[in-house]
Amino acid sequence: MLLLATISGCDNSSSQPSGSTSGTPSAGDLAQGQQIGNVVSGTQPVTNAGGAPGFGSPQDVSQFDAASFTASSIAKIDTDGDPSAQGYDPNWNPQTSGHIDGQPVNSAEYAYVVMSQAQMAASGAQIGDWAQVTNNATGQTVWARVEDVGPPGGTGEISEACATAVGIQFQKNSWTVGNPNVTVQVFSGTKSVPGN
Amino acid sequence: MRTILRCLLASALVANLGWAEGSLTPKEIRAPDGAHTLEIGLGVRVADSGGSNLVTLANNLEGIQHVDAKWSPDSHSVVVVISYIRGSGVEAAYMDGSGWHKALQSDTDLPVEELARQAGTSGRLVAQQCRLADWLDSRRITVNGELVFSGQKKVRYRYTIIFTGEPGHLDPGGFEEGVIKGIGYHLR
Repeated sequence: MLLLATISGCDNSSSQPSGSTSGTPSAGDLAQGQQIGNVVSGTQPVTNAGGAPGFGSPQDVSQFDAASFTASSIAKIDTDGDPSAQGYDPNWNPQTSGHIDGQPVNSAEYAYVVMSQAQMAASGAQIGDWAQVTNNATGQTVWARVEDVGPPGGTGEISEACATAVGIQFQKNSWTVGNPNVTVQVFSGTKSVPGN
Repeated sequence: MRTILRCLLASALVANLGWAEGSLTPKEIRAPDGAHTLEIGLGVRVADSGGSNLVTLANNLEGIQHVDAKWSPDSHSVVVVISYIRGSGVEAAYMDGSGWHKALQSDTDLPVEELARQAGTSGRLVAQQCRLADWLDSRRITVNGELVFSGQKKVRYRYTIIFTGEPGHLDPGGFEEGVIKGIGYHLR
């Protein structure tokens, strides 16, 4: 019951602009793999602490300097690279700036973050560098990589896998449930560090 | 006859492909005075006439879709727009009494909300692109841009990049911030 109440309230509390044609989503509308239980209970431990599916976590963080870029803001979901998001997310793009084996980085499978070109240049970050994303409400943290480049000033834009790993719910149209706040930290010069 | 047609067709195809990827095929853009060159190859850099590197704007071209560059009329600076699929940024290399430096335009210059308001739209900014237009003089160049908001609502805008003449502050990426600035944003 609590779960239904949480979900049914998402249209009004979405972080995205109003005007969507979508109605109140059912549980079936929610994207696969979301940790609905975490949001309801807020007490479940991070099951993949340190790493999400796809990239995992860096093998050796001892060579990491302090984060070269840090920003806290409302989370926005980037579904780019996830073929299953086509037709649901009006802003969906088949491509991502980063690639894995010549293919776009699938948002549903890899925890990644988005930076602007200026943010990358100013911080010395490159596509592939490691990043850490924290759900500011729950403290859940996941390792990710910089794999997409977005418009100027954008912060808090993360992949579906990244959102799921830190307990953020979202609909298939990429709208988040509520206004979850995340902190993104990027560690420049770490792209060559392999993941576990 | 058939062979000639095939050759013509192949040539046209290659030419078109070349044009489509032209911005990222290796190329050199020489300054008006011929003393320096902007090289787009493994990365983006300014080199002297002997090919020695003077300043590097981008170490690699991973994910970059387009590089747009124009030298100032006095050959003292070159402004470069580096574009990815969903966003672009403006950088510059410039020469002063102490040598060559690089600068970037801050994201905070772009008045997203004000432009959206003027255009009568709203929503989340999901993409942005810009291209260089003409130099007004050796310190100012016009830039044309386009914002894409959620729902694919598009807003076209124009502004001017100026070299402020102010001392910048060096960021961790090695760029001087505050040396170039976007002003005069308006719809087009």
